[in-house]
Amino acid sequence: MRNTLIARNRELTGQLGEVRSILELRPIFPELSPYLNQIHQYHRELTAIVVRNLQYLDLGDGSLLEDILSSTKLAARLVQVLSSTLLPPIARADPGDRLTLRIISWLHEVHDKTKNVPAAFSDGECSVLVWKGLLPKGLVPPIYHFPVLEQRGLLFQPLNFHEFGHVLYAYHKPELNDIVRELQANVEDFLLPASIRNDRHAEQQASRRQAVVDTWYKWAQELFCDAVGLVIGGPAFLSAFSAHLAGLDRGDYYRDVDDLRSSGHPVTWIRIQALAARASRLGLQRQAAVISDQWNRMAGLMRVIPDFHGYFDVGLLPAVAGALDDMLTETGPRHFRPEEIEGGTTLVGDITPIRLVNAAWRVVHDRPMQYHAWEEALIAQWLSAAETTLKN
Amino acid sequence: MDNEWLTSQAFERAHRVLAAINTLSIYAKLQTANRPIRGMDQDIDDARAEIIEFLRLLGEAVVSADQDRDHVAFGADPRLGQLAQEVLALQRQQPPKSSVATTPLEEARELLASPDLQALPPLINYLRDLRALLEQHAYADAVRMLGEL
Repeated sequence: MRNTLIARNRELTGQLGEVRSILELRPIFPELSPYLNQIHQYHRELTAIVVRNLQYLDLGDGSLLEDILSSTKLAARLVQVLSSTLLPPIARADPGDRLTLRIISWLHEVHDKTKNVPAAFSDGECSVLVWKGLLPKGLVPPIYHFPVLEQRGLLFQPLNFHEFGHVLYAYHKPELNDIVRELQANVEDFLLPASIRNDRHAEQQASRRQAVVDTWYKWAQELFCDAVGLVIGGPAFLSAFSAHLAGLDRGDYYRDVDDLRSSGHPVTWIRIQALAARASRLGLQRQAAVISDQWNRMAGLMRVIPDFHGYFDVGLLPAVAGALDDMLTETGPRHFRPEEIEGGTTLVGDITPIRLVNAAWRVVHDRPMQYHAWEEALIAQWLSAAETTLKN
Repeated sequence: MDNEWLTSQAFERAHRVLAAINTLSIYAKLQTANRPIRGMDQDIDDARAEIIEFLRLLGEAVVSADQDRDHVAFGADPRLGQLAQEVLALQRQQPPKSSVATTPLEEARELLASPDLQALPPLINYLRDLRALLEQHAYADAVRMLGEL
């Protein structure tokens, strides 16, 4: 066993040497430097663990082998994480990444808890890997995943605001978990009344209760992230969200019970209803009506009958909205400013990403033929201004 | 459908606690053998703090699940809730097979914080059983996170 562990830790040392070469040789543009520095620190810490494993093996104390085995397994997994997840934002880096990186950096900078968290993203369906420190020391930034086509333009950047909601949740987890606990209890009371709970099929009921409670832990966080996206991005988030999810599939309106039981996200129609209600409360009545109407018409066309198999009822919306209000109060996401969502499409001065993405949706709607040329010029102008700011 | 945010956080939590268990277990064994390790004081204090905080969170989830008729854990993420149910299952085993089931949380905290050499053997035993429970539980998160061939 001792020799096997020595060999495995030596292999890991070799792999970590290769990682160092990638980190040192890769040409990096300024937006990625904070992330690169953080990964250097992660690499140093991981290397120190492997070196320590070899030192402990040198002691020849058999009672330590079970601990060193566990430590070696952990180090091997963390090298895998490095290779599969943490290195790609550096290894695949391309100047085209600067737009998305600037927007994620801005999101982090304008929120107290994340202002020192570096930005990083990789290709993939919209999602985020959230962690704060995989190893005892040092921060490991969240990795956003964002599809390749969407990375290059402005229109779908607001989807990153939703993903940022997950990061905010992680940084406020104890307070938000308390709110979710109350919501879970409310949901359970509403959806599984006592008369149903006390029947003779106790085991089935217990399993069903656990499924509903677990599902709502995930759904509550997704609905919170939708609300964060809306508060930060305003109309642009509504447009991006609705267009990205499209609503063309029956599954956007209805899912069968087994599918709901293991679902990570609420049925999209529920999310649209919750978002539209919140948008109206934020003064975006016109935009909310357009999106609700569009989704309701599509549901009508497909002849979908609302049925959420006991996982949701519209009567729950006020309780859900109340919980989301409390979660927003706890986390304080930056609210879009009126001037960022109104006005012309010729942008001058200090342009926030919120102004940028809202202008983009206005132009694509009003002047679709001119959109691509307009977008290209604006991105170049904005990144050039950002570069000047970074240099200063 | 899995939520990447949930998988990554469960993976992170398990790995930080397992790393802390290994650090503290090695320290305790070398202390017992009168071969103390030098220059690791901060790491050992951090490891203790990490495990104590984890046991606090797990303890809350266990209490929540134990109070509920169906052992449903409210307010904890589903993976922590499942771990709480695994602890409750260990506690129901007769005869008990794990010191995680037989050592009350408060006693585990005292073992972790104690400077007394006599506390080290039960601490080593407790850490071994806690690690076994966590490694088994964390395997699923690692597979979700890193995949399988």
